[in-house]
Amino acid sequence: MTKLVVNGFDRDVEVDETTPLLWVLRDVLNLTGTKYGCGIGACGACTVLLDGTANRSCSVPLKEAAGRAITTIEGLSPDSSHPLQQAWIENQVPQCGFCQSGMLMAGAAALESAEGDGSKVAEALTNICICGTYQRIREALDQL
Amino acid sequence: MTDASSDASIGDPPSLPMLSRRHFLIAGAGGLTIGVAFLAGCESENEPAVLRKPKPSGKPVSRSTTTTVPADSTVVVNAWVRIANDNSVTLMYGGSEFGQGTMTGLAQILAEELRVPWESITVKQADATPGVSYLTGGSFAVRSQFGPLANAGAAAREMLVAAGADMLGVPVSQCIARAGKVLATVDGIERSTTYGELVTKAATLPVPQEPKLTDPSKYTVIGRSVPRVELPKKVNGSAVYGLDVRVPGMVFAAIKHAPVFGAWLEGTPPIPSGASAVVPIKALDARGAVARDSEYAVAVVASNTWLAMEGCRSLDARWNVLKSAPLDSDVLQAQAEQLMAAGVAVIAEPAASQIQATLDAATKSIDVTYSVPYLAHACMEVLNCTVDYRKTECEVWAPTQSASSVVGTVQRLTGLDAGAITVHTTFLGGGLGRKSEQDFIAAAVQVAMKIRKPVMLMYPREEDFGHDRYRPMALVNVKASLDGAAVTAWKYRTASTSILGQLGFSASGQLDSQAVEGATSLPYSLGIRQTEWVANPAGIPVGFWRSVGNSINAFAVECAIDELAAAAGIDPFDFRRGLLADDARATAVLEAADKLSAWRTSLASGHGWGVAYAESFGSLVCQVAEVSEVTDTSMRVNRVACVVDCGRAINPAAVEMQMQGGIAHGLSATLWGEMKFTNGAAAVTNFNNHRVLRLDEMPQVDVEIVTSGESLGGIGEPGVPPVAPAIANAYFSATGRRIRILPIFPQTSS
Ligand code: FES
Ligand code: FES
Repeated sequence: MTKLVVNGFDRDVEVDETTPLLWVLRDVLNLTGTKYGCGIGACGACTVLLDGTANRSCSVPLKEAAGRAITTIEGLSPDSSHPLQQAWIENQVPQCGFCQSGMLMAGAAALESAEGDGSKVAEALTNICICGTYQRIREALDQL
Repeated sequence: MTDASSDASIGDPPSLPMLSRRHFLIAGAGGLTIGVAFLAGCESENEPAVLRKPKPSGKPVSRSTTTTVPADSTVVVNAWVRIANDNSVTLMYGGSEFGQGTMTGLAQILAEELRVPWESITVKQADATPGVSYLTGGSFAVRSQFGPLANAGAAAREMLVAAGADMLGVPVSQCIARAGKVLATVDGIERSTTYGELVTKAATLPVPQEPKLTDPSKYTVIGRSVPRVELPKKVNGSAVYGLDVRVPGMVFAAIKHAPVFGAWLEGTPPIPSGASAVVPIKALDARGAVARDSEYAVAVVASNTWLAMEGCRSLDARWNVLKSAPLDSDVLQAQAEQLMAAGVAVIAEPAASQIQATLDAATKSIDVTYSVPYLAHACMEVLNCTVDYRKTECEVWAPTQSASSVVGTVQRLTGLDAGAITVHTTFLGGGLGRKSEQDFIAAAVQVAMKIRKPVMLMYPREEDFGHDRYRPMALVNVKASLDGAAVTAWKYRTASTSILGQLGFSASGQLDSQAVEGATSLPYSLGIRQTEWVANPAGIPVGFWRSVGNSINAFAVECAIDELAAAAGIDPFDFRRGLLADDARATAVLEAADKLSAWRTSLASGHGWGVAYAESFGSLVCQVAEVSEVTDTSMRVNRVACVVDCGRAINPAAVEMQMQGGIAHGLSATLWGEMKFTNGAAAVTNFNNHRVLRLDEMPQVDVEIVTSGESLGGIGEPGVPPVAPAIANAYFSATGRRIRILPIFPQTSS
């Protein structure tokens, strides 16, 4: 059994410790906001925070996440009030939306370390968006 | 069609279902329900085969409901718009939402005609329902629904006004409908009654079949950039995509295809450790029947997706490779060249007179060949489908672009009546044409029938890349001659694989109109013109990729036009102006693009600009790109000016988003996109060797919408076709070298 702290809650999970965190979140804890895009750390759709830093959860084995504070999109804010969530709505960023949980989580971590400077966040966002929402992402970040 | 493509399963033909005259509006009570009714016996084959019987009451009915079930049981009724006595308005959405903003656009149309605040409309995804569900493709979602939905809204409004007049005791002519109320001035005092108070009465009135529609000059909701209705769910992780479906007791399966095209399973492999079952997957033939000896893939079932994928990796399957010569990019290229040189063509547009003599006699001419590659869709959400098969019933959840095709697929595999099949359309993490296909649905149904538990079947990303229905590769040759600024002859020959042919919808020797879309009916004056197509029977499975044939032909046409302009020594804008002089609508778009790209006259050295114009799906689009820092392996695309005339923008912000997105998508394909095949297998397997545009590479895209007021054009696809030629022409302007082969910067070697 592995003890996890997800969005502030203690969760015990009973799967092999080599299972990537992504699948523990999605299939065991039913936190499906975190997305699978590639499974090899190449797209960013699965980004979550571990102790505040962005990690691609498809490439984090469960045992490495044990005991650390895990934040998923569901826990970014209780009511979609995180400044990035608000800016995303304000600027109507998402299209299909599938990459956006990862974008927001990567952006949230970068925003924290950039002390609110949106242009620095843009530099840190290497996630893929097939719908091509990049221009609106940039506009949303510029308005922070 | 060869073996490799026979795992192609069938979808509806891309003829786009619209509400026909056989459909009529009908009302029901319990609030005012405007539904669509049609005679079951009149169904043509192309229409949704499903006839869901109205569910008996007592069930929670988020699906189609109606309270007016005519005695004549051959009439099928489906709810579409419902106004409840608490004033709430619900619109059942029969299409698929993958970011185009269709849900919002339709709510705007309904709000406009019904005269209610658009925010008061709740849009709900409808389950597959005849008359309500339709194929979301061909940039047709809003176009096909505008008329019928406007009619439904206007009909409901007229019924409510009639009921309101009755209640207020005044003639209908003295009443107006506004903001969800019927108002009238009675004895100098304004009185009003809400729709909610009127619905019960209104539901008993006859339904006007030809209600009076709002004059477009009076639109207040249509044409506004209202926020998209589904976005709040897309920023907090609560939007449910296909992969997010969770059903009690469900298990997870991953698919593993044969390692090469045209190989079949030999015996059922043992269950790998950590998994609970393996299920061989059979191909469907072109008629949708299960083909014999055709197990082209295996599904591994486990308690979570990771274990299922691990099971696929360690699977000990033996494959019977039927073909002696594996499909290989070099061989495919050589075969295509052979076809271009000597293949028998189907003539799409015959020349009016001797074209060769004109070409031969010209002093200035071009003879150029363009080549575009196979392309994967790479939707952000991999293919997946969840099925609960309960012997007498089957329930399906899928990110599908065509819910009614899914019903047909389930029927063919299970033999169940359509009425026993429920299909829920989830949000789609991208569709791009791929999710109108049925292969992933058919595979999931087969797994569920075997294991008798609710199961999600997903494609690991490697399988999604490796077993796509690729945008076909194509070669195009253009021979054209000039006399001054005039084009005197234009001979266009292309070779590509027919998508409709592979699906069994068009016979060999028949023209596949999609193979030449964007090459025929060109708006330009091109003198004597001939367009022909050679079918390429290559066995790579092909399919609909955002903008389909237009993505191929706009590249060749617009690059060739640019080459002619250069040969004539005329500015590319002026040259096109000359050729479009007879077309006022096209000229207006070109002129707007000229203004919007005024920056191009003052570019620094090393920078280049290129223009391209393309009409597709009823919309006219002109794009001007600026590039710089061109090297052998990279370049920067700094900006793209984009002008679009889609008749009228229902939601201008949505149009802008689709243009920006189409440009980003087209740009990735132009610069790097290519699927190669090595020894019968796809060479690109994941995003580490499939490069797509990133944030820091996104050009500044400025979009201007021209409102011509002409018939509505699509917006999901028309942004794509002009991108590649605009970039290629800009590359020429920066370097003096022509791009005739895509992608510009290949990432893989075959
Ligand atoms: S799924 Fe983890 S980076 Fe793509
Ligand atoms: S919004 Fe669709 S992939 Fe980013």
